[in-house]
Parts: sequence; C-alpha cells; structure tokens
Amino acid sequence: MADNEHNDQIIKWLNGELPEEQLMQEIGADNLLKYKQIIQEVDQWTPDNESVIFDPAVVTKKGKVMTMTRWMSLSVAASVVLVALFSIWMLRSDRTVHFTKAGETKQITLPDGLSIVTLAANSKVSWTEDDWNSSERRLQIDGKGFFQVEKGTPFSVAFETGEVTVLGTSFEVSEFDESFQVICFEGKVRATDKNQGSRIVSAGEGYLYHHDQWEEKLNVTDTQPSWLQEETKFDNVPLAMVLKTLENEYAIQIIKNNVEMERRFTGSIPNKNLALALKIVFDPLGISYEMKESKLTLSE
Amino acid sequence: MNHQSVCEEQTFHQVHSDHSTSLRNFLFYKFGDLEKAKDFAQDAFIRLWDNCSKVPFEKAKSYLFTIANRLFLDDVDHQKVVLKFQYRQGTTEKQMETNPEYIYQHDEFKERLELAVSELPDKQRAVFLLSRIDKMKNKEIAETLDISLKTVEKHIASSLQNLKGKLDELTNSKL
Repeated sequence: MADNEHNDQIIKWLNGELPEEQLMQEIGADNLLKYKQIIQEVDQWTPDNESVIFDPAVVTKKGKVMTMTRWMSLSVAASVVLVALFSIWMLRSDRTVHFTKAGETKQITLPDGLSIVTLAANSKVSWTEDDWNSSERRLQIDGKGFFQVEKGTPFSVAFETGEVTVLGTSFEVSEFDESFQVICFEGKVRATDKNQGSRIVSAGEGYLYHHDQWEEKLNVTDTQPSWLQEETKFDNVPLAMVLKTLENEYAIQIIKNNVEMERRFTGSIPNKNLALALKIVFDPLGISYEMKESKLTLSE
Repeated sequence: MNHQSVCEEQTFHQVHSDHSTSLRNFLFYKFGDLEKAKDFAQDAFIRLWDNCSKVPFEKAKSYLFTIANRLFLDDVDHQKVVLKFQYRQGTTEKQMETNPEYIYQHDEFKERLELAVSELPDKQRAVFLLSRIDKMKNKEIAETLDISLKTVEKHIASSLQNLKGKLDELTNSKL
C-alpha cells in the first residue's frame, strides 16, 4: 500500500534533511519506529564479507578472452580455457576459494586446521562446506600446489583430469592442459586418472600423466618443491609444461607458432629472472624468441 | 576533463577496485543468486576490457551495470530465491542491541525481513539496497542505472512502505 503523500518526507528524513519529530507528526510514532527498526537492521547487512571478488589481472593479462557465458553449460569442451579461467565447478554456493596471481605464491591452512596447501603462481584451490566432513576431506585445484596433509580422514585433491587421494603426507600436484604430474615427498599417495588408471606414488617418486598415458616413474631427491625457493625444477617434462610455468610465474602470454611441444626439458629455471629463464629454456633447444610487451613469440 | 583510458591496465584495475563489489551486489540484490552475480559481474568486466577503446572512462561504471544487467536478463535459468545476508564485519554488539521501544519482535526479525526484502519488486529492491548497504547517493544510483532521480526516490520510499506492510502481515498472521 504505497502512500505517495509521504514519499518526499521519508526521503528527506533518510537524507538527514528532515528531523524525526516532524516525520513523526506526519506518519505517527508507530510507523516511524517501524521504519527505524527496518533501516537499522538493513544498514548492518552485507551479501558477503569477502572483499576481493575476482582478480582483474586474470582479465588483463590473458588478453582477449572468451566470455564467461559459455561455461554456464557443462558441455563446453574447451578445457584449456577452463584451466586458464575459473573452474566450472563454481556453480555451488558456499564455496571457499583461494587463488594466486601470476608470480605469487601463497600458503593456506585448510579447514582441518592442520593441513596446508602452498599454492604456486596463478593457481586456485577451492572447496565447499560439504567437501569437508567427518569421513573425508576434499578440495579442487587448478594449477599447481604443494600439499602437506596431516594424518586423518582420507584427503583428496581433484582436478580436471584426475584426482589424488592421501592419508597424511606431503606431495605436489601440477596440472596443465590435460596432463598432470604428481611428486610425493613424504608418505604415500594414490593418483588416479579420469580413465580410472592409477599409480601409488611413494616418497621420492613422481609420475607424469600426459596424453592419456602414464609415463615412467621419476626419482626425486628433494624433500620439498624447488619453487618454494623461487626456482622451478623440471625432469624430462614436455615443453608445454615449462611454457605453462613461464606464463604463470611471469604473467606473459606465449605464442607458440609451430614449435614442437612434445620435446622434453630437464633443468631448473629461476622464478624471478625472466631473461635468464628464457635463455635456459630456449637456447639448448635451438628455439628463437622475441619478447614484446607481455607477449613472447617463439619460432624455430 | 579526464583523459584516462580504460585500456590502460592501471585504469582498468582502478575501475575494478572502485566498482566490482557494488556491481556484484547490484546483481545479487536484483536477481538473488550470489554465485551468478559474481560470474556475470566478471563477464561484464571482461566485456569492458574487450571494448575498452569504445568506452570513455566516465561511462565505465554505467556501462558495466548496463551490460551485467542485460546478461542476467538473458540468462534463462532464473529462480526465485530468498536473499540471505550476513552482518557487516565490525558490526558491534551495541549496534545490534534492541531499542526497547521497537515494535517488531526482535526474535527472527532478520529472517522475516529477509523474506520481505525478497518479495519486493526486483528493481525497487536493488535501488533500496544499493542505497542502504552500498551507501550510494540517490544521484549516483540514478546515473549508474540510467533512471531519473525521482524514480530512485520513489523506489526507496516504496520499499520502506512495502517492507512495513509485509512485516505487519507476517506479524499479524502469527497471532
């Protein structure tokens, strides 16, 4: 029941231009009290206390990107876009998300209060309230993270092409394109691919799952990932994985042209010295490159 | 005259910092889905970036709100929901104390008010909440949503009156 006569006065009162007593004379004490109670309550509200909603750097660094409306339908096959943009699993409410920008690492304590994930650059980890309950602990990752899991209920990390389940250990998951690599530093984990094949990865071991195949076991002597010390180490990995890391650490976009992505790279690149990193990666492989603004163009 | 360009990253980041929260909030107030509000707000920013050379800096805010609103309207999957809110961080006990003179019962007042708010017409609710929660001035709301100042004022006053009406109904029906 709109009462247009009093609209002006209500507006003036809300703006502080009309004293309460005068409004009370017009509409009565009861109505005034009701309005006051409503206003006082609504003024304390907020939709959500989280301050950053999304990272504008994702938009500007990745150049002209596909619009988000596409991923409203789950049948989108552009999984590369999904890895680069936000996961389509973000359809549920009550989802906690942590992400890093290009070149950033971040340590996050998980809801059990003891387990930790250290996120590498341009990566994202998330979970819903339901994921963390009395019988299991689950979360999702896009990108790369180092997990230190306290013994307890089964702990799983899911990503586009597979999942890693553990029982108290520390390990690294790195996913890129439709591949992933798992390295275990302590304890034991099981890595399962989307086709239900799996590997048990024990301390000091690693596996790469690439083009729908598990490759030979890697031996690892480090006790934690090198990128925690601002250097990323690669052991016989596809060039695609190295390029992905360069993009994430340095916020660049790489134009690959016809350069062969399957050749392997073994070596260590600094995370804070782009010129040196580029030399280390491309010189031995005989690949030419040109850096302009934030774009790196390759050729051979 | 401001000659900043939205195509400059720093300017774009500034626009984001200034408006992303209120844009997300506006969509939430109007359509009720917090996750979707965030998604469409992001989409609007992507479009702004793609069209940065065609949008003058002064028009960036209303561009964002217009695009995001249209995107949401085009989305077929609308569902009527009850909007839920949290209390702003830093809300003190003192602010939450009930004035003994108040008429509506304190018990479950928030839930009843959330219900009443959800039943307001979409546009009216969005304007009202932008004014109270995001603290936008009436003139600012008018410019951003491309409506007249008179319309903004009408929406706010009507919201208050409608909310009172619904709360009265809810209270009476419990007797």
